[in-house]
Amino acid sequence: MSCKKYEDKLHSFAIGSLKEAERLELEMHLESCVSCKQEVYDIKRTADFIKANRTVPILPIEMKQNIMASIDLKRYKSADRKNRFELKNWGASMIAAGLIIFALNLSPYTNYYLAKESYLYNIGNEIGKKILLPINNLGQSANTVFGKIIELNGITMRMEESKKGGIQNEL
Amino acid sequence: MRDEEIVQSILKGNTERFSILIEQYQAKIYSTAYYYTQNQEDARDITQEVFIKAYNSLQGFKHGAAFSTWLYRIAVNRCIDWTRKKKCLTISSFINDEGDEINPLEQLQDNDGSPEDIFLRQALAKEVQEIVGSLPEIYSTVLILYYFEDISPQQIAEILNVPKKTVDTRLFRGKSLLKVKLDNVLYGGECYELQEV
Repeated sequence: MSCKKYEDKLHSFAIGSLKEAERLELEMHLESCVSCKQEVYDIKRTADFIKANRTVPILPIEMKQNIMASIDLKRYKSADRKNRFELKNWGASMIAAGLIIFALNLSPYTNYYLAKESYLYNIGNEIGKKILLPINNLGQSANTVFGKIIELNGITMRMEESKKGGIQNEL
Repeated sequence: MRDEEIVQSILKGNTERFSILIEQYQAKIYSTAYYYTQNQEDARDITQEVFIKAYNSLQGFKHGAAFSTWLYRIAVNRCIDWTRKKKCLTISSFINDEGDEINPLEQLQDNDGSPEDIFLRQALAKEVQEIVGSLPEIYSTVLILYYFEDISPQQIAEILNVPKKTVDTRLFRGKSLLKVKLDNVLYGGECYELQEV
């Protein structure tokens, strides 16, 4: 019966798959532990016996050809083309969009043009105010004048009517 | 080119490269299947099924894992399925297409020594393999992978997806059972010295 601490390492040790530090530690332990040493000996003896007495089967020559003939060689071709096409398009679009945004944001002319644009907008506003306001005022003045004229006309007509009425009375 | 790079290349459309992986692993998968089934016909069928399944499942292969471990996992699962359906405990007689009985031992590699030596050796080999195959599945699996295929306990754990400690425990118990059965077969149950034949 091997030691509990090392029993799960003995098969790995016998086949040579232990890490260096673990192998050295176990080798030191085996120098003083008879049961573990016996177990390792037993494992190696079993392995040697089986290797000496196992039969290595002969691989059929046509194995590879049969397998290749049984699989669908087109299976991953169209999927890859489709994926490549979609990915390419998406990828190109995203990259192009990113570059445009990047260029716009970092372009020294962008701010200049933006500033120019608002300057022009302000000028337009000012011009508008300067032109439209006087015309507005003119329109209002004209309205007032016309109103007065109409009022005057009304008074004149009433005066003439009252004049006509007075002469008839005298007659 | 590493296995994982070959897989990526296949998934990108270079499907002919699957033949490289077949060449690399067909012998190992075939021998594993043979040690499970004790039958070359079944071993051939299982090997082909394993590779076809592997090819169709390549998209499920996780980048970063070892391809050999993944392939062995498919093979072991297929072999376990086979043993559950049809456990083979004795040497079966084989009938070829013409209806004649053939000797399976003639299909095996062994040309050293006299005909009697060859026969005895092959008979013993068959006996050992049958004994291993007759053990409970959890023990025969680890014994085949460790003693017949020289796979480390760590890799066996990855193939079977169990803790390494579980593999070591099964190897211990499997070896003990194997020793008892070999005792009975070779020496009638008495203590034995394992010797090369």
